[in-house]
Amino acid sequence: MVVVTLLLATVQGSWLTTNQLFDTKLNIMLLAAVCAGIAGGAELGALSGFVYGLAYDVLVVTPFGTSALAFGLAAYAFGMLKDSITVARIWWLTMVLTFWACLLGVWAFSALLVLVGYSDRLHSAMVWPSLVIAVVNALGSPAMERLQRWVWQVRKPVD
Amino acid sequence: MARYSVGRRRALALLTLTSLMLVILDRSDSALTHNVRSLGATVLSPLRSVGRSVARPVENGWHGIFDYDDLEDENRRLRRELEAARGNEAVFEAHLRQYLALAREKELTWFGDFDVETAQVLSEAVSQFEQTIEIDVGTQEGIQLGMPVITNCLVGKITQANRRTSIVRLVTDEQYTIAASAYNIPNGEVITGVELPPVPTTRPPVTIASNTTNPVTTAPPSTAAPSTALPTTVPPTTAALTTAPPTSRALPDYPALESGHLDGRGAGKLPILTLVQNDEQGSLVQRGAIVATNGANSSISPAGIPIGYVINRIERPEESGPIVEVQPCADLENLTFVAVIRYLPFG
Repeated sequence: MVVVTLLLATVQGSWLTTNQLFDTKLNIMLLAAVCAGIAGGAELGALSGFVYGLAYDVLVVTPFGTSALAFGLAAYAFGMLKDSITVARIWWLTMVLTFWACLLGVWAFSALLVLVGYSDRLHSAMVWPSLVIAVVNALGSPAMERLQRWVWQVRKPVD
Repeated sequence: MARYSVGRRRALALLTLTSLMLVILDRSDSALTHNVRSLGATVLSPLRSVGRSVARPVENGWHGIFDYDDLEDENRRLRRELEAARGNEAVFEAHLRQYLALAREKELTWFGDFDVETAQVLSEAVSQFEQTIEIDVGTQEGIQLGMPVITNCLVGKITQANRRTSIVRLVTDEQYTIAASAYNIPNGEVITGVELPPVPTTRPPVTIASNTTNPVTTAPPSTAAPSTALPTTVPPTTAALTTAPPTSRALPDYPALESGHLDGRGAGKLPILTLVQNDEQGSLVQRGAIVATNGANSSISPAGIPIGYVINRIERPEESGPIVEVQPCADLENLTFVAVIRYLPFG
């Protein structure tokens, strides 16, 4: 888990920082947190969100702990939602959940910055980047979910 | 159905409380979060460096294949900017000379009085929510929190100093604020963006303009910014002053010196200068006026560092004074090398 966290932080801090997609800096740490929650449930989501969020907090200058809180919240909420879905597995379910979870994660982070007095308001300029992050993360979620299952030793549920 | 047990609630509460505690500690400038962040940055720094090295050839190949036209456009744009910058240099030179004289007269600290540490920009901000860059000097080189960072113009300040790297908060960041002054340019000519008006090829002697409402008096040429008094450790633009030949052309009057504070507003928005309008001067700041640090008491920067140009002016109720939008003169999107001024506000 430590090695994967460091690797993801390295990718976030180097490649994803210098290369933007549609003027947006992608967020692989949020994707990892959310996918862990979807794969392993709410508790694991909260824990992974905390871990990946703290790693992300090291890379940025926004108040330490805000990413951990926002990522943990998003991963917990959608981990719980995933738990509550009892219908047969649908292949695109993870992508849909990841989309909304990442949207929640970005806006929760933004809202927390306002709450702690770092930012004065929610910016409309964040609409586009949050959508890009959510869409790209949704597309990458099947692979990331598989990685998170391996990292956290979560068994794939039997249909 | 969701299994919502007591254990889950405890886990969530624990993690939430821990996160909240970290946020509170960070907001109260706790050494704990600073040290954790610094340690994390030190651990990740070599990994990120390797990551950049691995990714660079791939990126270059990609850009070479798919962005060739963009590179040509960028080349043309840079040539245009170079031409404009050559004009800017002379204007800044005149302003810096004036600032130097004013700073000496008012016993302000001028940025040319300090050593600088040149640094390479490693990367830009990781997050969409901040306007920062990472540079390759840190506490090992004597870099400390709060030191101003410049190119020819103000770039920002050190907001996190790790052992070998530092994070610079740019002037456009929401959390950035600095004491600044605005100068209307000579003859009331208007500058739009970075397109400066033609600058005389001859360099005027430094003559400080008298100001009808400001006690700053006209300084004799001999005392105003003697070129030999300038230090050699300042950045290129100011260093060039040491060889500026005096001419007989007098610098036109500068209409006003107005002070206030400059605040960044985040991505895609220009910083604003809020003027302290305590007399009639406030009405004089024009579009095109040059904005620079003023080195006021407890300012985070010494005086005389150009910040940018006024490109828009927003009127407010009488007591509040106008707000002006400032176009930074540093190219914050394409920073490669910067200089850290070894200046500490209370050092």
